[in-house]
Amino acid sequence: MQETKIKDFQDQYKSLKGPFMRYATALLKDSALAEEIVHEAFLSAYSKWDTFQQKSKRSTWLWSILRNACLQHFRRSEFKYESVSEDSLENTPSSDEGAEMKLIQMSKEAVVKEALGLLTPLQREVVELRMSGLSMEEMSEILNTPSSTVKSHLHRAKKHLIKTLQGETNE
Amino acid sequence: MSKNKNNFFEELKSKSETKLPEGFDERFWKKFDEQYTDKKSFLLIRRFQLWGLPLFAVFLFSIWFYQKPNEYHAINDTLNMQAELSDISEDDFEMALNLETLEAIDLDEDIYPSDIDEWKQLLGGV
Repeated sequence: MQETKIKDFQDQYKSLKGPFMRYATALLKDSALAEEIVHEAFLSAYSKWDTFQQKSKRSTWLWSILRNACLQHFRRSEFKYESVSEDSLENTPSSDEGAEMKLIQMSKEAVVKEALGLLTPLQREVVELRMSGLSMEEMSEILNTPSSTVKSHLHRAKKHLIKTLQGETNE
Repeated sequence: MSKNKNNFFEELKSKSETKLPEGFDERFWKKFDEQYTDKKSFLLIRRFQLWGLPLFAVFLFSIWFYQKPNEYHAINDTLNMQAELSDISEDDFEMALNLETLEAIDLDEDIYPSDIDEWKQLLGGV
């Protein structure tokens, strides 16, 4: 029983440690702090392992724990989560999907990272979750937000990214 | 359309991939061991709970089981002792009877006096 628990935990740890670090680093903008929070989230998850009610996927449950750990850190440090207003970024009309992908392929890694850094924390969050392969329903559950709102954030984030990348590649 | 959307984010991910800091795993498992005790010893405790406790229960049962005949012997001993005590009582009773006889003999001292004058008187002044 105990051995199964440890094995399950190790499997989840192996598959999620990378995406968790990406997500936490994106939100906290500090690699060392992100590592601390990710470790804290995994340890907390292990202590609550048996309380998981299997209403959702185990990974979704773990994502929620990580998100709460990040938000707790923000509360402790009195960091203003929504520090960047979405209104400060102009909306651009949506362009062709293939062209968007080509745009990213053309862009250098540093440029893409910079573009991601310009998103609002919430937009960055949905993008990171999406990049980790989570579905709309899972994201909705983790963010405790309706699926339509998540879609809206994702759509706006995408437009901002394309706009930033277009600006960078034109320069 | 949906596939393209996924490709968009996959492409984005590949362009912004971040490596885990060096020693990330070691630091985590060290914290894990500190917080939840050493995993191996933890497993040993769990194994003891699974196997050790039932074995200990069997051990206690076996002690109790072998103790039972001893209790039986003890009862027998008690019975024997009671029998012996009753024998001793009987001896005492006999002894008491003997004592009474002895006392009776003592009482007969008047009939068989040891003093010579008394003997003479008894024999008719010889």
